[in-house]
Amino acid sequence: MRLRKYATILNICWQDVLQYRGNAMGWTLFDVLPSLTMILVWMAAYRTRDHIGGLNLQEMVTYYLAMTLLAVCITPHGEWDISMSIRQGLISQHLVRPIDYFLLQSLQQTAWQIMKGGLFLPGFALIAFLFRDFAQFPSLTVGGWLAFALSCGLTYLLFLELKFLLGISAFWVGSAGGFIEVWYMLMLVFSGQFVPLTVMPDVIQRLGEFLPFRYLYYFPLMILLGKAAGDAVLRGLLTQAVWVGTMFIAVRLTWRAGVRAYEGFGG
Amino acid sequence: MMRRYFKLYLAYVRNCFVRLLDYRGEFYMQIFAWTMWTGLSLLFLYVVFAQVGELRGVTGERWTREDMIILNGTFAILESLLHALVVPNLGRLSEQIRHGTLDLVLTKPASAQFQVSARYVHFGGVFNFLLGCVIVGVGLKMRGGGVTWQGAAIYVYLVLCGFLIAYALWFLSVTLAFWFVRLDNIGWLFDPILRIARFPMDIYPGQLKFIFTTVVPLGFLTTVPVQTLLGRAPLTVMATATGIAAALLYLSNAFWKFALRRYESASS
Repeated sequence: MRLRKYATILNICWQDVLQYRGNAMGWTLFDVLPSLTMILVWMAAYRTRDHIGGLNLQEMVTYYLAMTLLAVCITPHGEWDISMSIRQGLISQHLVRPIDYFLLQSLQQTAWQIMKGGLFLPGFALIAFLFRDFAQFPSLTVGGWLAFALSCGLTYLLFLELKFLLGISAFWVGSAGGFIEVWYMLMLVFSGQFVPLTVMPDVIQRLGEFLPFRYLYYFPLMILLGKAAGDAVLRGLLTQAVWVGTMFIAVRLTWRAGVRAYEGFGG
Repeated sequence: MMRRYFKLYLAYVRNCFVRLLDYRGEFYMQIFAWTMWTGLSLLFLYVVFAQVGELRGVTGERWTREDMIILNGTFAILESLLHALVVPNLGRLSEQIRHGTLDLVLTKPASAQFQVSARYVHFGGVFNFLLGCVIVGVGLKMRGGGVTWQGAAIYVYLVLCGFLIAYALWFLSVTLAFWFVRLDNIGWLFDPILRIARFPMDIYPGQLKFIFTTVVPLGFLTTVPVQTLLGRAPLTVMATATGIAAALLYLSNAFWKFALRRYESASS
């Protein structure tokens, strides 16, 4: 019975996504273009050197190409929608329904991911074709691919939780715009989306050890490039799972506190 | 005619200042975020140039650390102008079309393009603008070798042309909202494209570079002004930049008028 309820919701979300698929294209451009520019900048740097931060040109290009795929396919963007619902008081209608709002948001975002991913695949094929001489297809064992897939799954869960927390910060922060932007920059730096963390100054690398961001992109990409192997993979996956668990608890507690702080104007 | 628009703009600015006093927290947060963005791109330069001595473009053009700092400062200047004067306006256009509030603009006795492009000003841009100027100055100082007054004047003129080109391109992309009414992020579609201009055009391979200098002339936003400042481009680029800016402004207006004919007004 419960399952059917959420299946219906997923179906409604999908209809919604179909209607607004143009927006998905816009987001895709946001997610992809920065990484592509980075590839070209690094290529200009590699014209004077062979290895940068322990990566050769092939690995660097592969890193950013795979990054575009992760940035489009497993990166939800629910924070704007959530914070707007709170600020405009639209969230009231969800509070009185017997549906878990975090789960609802996650389903909605998942529907979006499927649409974004599907639309992006031909684009990615083209990009990969254009860079074919500079990239290399990862040579991983079956175990390696499994670890990569598992890690990507955990990344997606972690992203859903972090972006949800970011969105519901609107319960306290009057205008979420700047707050979201600053968070986004921290994510950019510490997740490795900006540049691979091995190239970063020591201070940033060490600081990053205490933040969840490196487990969003950097860790799965290191598995993909074969830079993390054996024990390191296991330890990484475990830490990733611990972050997912911790953030889940944070989501529950923060949501409860937020609803209590909520005044529900406009309702 | 000019005086009337000047007075109108002054009224807009005054109104925005009053609104600003109501939303001070948001204002400071935005300044902080913009400063961080500029810092982030400097961090990127730091990271790259900790590894290599120079960037070498596709055709072999060399960009040293100092050149890149100047380019980055120029981008910060351009971006701050756009954030202060253009984005607060064009970001709203698609909503105005969707909700039909564009009617209020069309019924007023002033150019509609002027109204939708100039209504709002974000004063926070001033801060990043100054920061950009400082970065350019520091870059020039690190580089050594002075800049003549004439060179500086030409640079300022070219940056202004770059601003007009960027505005026209942004406006063109936002005008598409008349056809794609449901695309609510169309107001920001040009933002990631603009960021291509953060780097010298020479790093983009053949066909791309061709596109960025002719079809979507991003090269004239930052690369050309900096090349001129460094004495690497002939002065004839001033004529080209002026021509492109004028042509794109004309085109943006023609496209806007063409698009308005499609507008059906959702409100009544």
